[in-house]
Amino acid sequence: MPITRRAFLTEVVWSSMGTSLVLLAGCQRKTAERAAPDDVRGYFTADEKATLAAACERILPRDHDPGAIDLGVPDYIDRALVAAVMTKWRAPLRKGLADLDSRARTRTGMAFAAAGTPAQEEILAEVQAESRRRTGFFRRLVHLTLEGAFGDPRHGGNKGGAGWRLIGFTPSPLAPQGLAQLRGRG
Amino acid sequence: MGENVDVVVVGSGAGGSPVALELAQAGARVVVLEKGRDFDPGELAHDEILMQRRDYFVPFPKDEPHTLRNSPDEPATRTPQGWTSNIVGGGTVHYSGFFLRMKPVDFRLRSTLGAIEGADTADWPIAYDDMEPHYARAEREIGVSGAWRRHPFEEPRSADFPMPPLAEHPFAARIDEVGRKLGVHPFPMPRAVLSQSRGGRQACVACSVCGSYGCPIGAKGAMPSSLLAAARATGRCEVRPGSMAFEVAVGADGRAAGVVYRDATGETRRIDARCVVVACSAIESARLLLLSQSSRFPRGLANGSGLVGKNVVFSSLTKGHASFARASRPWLAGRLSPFVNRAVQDFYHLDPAREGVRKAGTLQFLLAHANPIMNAERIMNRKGGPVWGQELKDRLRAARDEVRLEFETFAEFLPSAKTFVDLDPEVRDRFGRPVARMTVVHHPADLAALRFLAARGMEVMRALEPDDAEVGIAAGQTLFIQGGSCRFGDDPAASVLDRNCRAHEVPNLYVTDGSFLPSSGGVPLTLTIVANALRVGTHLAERFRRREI
Repeated sequence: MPITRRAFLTEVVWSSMGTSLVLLAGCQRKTAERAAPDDVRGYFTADEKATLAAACERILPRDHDPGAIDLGVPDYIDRALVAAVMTKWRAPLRKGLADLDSRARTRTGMAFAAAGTPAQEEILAEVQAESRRRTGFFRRLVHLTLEGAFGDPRHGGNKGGAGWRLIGFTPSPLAPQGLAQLRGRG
Repeated sequence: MGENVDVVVVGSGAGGSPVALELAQAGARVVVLEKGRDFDPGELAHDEILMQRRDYFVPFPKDEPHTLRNSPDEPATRTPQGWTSNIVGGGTVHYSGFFLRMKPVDFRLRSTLGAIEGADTADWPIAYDDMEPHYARAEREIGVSGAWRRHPFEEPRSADFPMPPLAEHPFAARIDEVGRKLGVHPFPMPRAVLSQSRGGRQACVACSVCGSYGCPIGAKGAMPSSLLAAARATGRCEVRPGSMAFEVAVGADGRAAGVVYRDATGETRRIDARCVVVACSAIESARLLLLSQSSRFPRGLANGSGLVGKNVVFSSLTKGHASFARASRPWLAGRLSPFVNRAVQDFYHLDPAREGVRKAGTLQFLLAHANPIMNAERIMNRKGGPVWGQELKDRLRAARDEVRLEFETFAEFLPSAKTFVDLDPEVRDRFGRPVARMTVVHHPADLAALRFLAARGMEVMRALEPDDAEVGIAAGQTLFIQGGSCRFGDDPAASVLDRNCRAHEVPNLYVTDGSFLPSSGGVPLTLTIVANALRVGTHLAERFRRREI
């Protein structure tokens, strides 16, 4: 569905008042997933994950602050897709990653992960320009990259809360540790 | 099968919990059916991914949509909007607890404003004075923090707030100061958030993650921490999570016989009761009645008048924001209270009209919610976005220094024949049941009021000397503030419920969420829903004691 002005407005209204459920097509039923334990198998193959990591790093590159790979974003996405609620996200992402690779091979003769920053940026800009739809690969990639960078570290991204420091978010004192202390005080 | 209790309540939120409490205290055996799960106040409570971006509170449109259109002539599209919250406690779990009362004028909208073309306004069958004791009791029992300050539209009160206001952000005093210059009267927003510990509940620790999340320590006046906890403590009120009502069953005598529901294991069951109370939000309560068709009620239960689902009201919304760099403002440095808590009601009812506006509502000021992922998305998408790469990173870092103050409104949404809920003729949920279709059309008077309020909000914002300020949403509505689908009144031809919120056509069926409301008022509806449910609960408890139930 293209982003009509009305769709945008209703989403913003929704967000502003509380639950900011993100309106993305293709989300599947099931209850909210719990944190993935460390030994959980991810969804992607090693090659796909390398492409994913390179793409996430272009969205949020390392400079004097950590980038997407430092923050564990590819791990977050790899695990997030295992959850039943994300079933409908799998095929579009897998297809999109394959597309990045094939564009990179045409352009440079190498896989996307090895194509180098300038070529990767050009390819992503191209894909972004071609995929303005909410359900398009680029939108999904950015959506998950920001979740992995700034979501709760229990999901495998935002390592050590470094993403929160990057944007100046102070986690609640009622995060698990503080909560235990408060309850202890009773 | 064969289960039989005194009362079944459908919904455990602001409309269901007070009734369950009153009846259980009177000795009735009550079962509360709740579609959602039990809220887990543990470590997940502040997890943005789970709470805001998955289906923890609201189902995905793929599974259990509503459909929405802005005109009867256009196709309706799937949306998650129109749900309040699928969880024990309903919308009170993640609400912000802005606990404003309606004003006497809201109870007499028709006689105050006269007939308005294109609107279907009505006076309530009861007056503000009838509701006042229940407002006071709701504030007392839930624990509302606030301060009684004079302003032109303060409502008559029999008692002060039960506890002092929460600690305030420095913006509060600045808004007060600016208000004096502009000739308006900002006052502390009453909050259903404890400023003092009491009754085993801990006072708020100003954690900054409040609106749109559950409270892990029970400082927020969510029903499971307050009235529903008291109901359960009687030992006579059982809450069944994961239980979605499919139909209110009707007996040969035309009375409600019980409720058919899907239980937590996926079985379809029936529970019989001498009295059925429906309170699963204005949209879903109307849907449940419309789905409860029988030979006696072919158009839906209690719908002989054809008015179930009509005259739906929401809360009209305009919203603006202003940004303030910390670097140049030492008073914004350090760890500050997350609560600005300032409301302005000088424009509640304008007599004579100003700029063609007679009824507007509440303007309130607050800090942007603490949702780091959503904020990162906003920063990415603004001004020529979405941007990515180095530009995104630079933007995110720059935004660290920025404090974002917002204004938003709770404004009148005039009822009309154009805004209603019915059963979608095509779309079904994952259980195969027709979903609620919402047709939402603003009355022109609402839009004029929003323009007026946005201008007043921007005056305050500019007087605060921000780096930047703009209106973000010129005109919209908050769809989870909802009422009016089963209007109450004394005339069975013009209303679904009587003054005690009992269905005119079914003597043992009550609807106690926001469905009864003939007008939206210019405030959030939760406090009024709780107060009214306490009022109806008192009536039901008396009937139970007299063995009429």
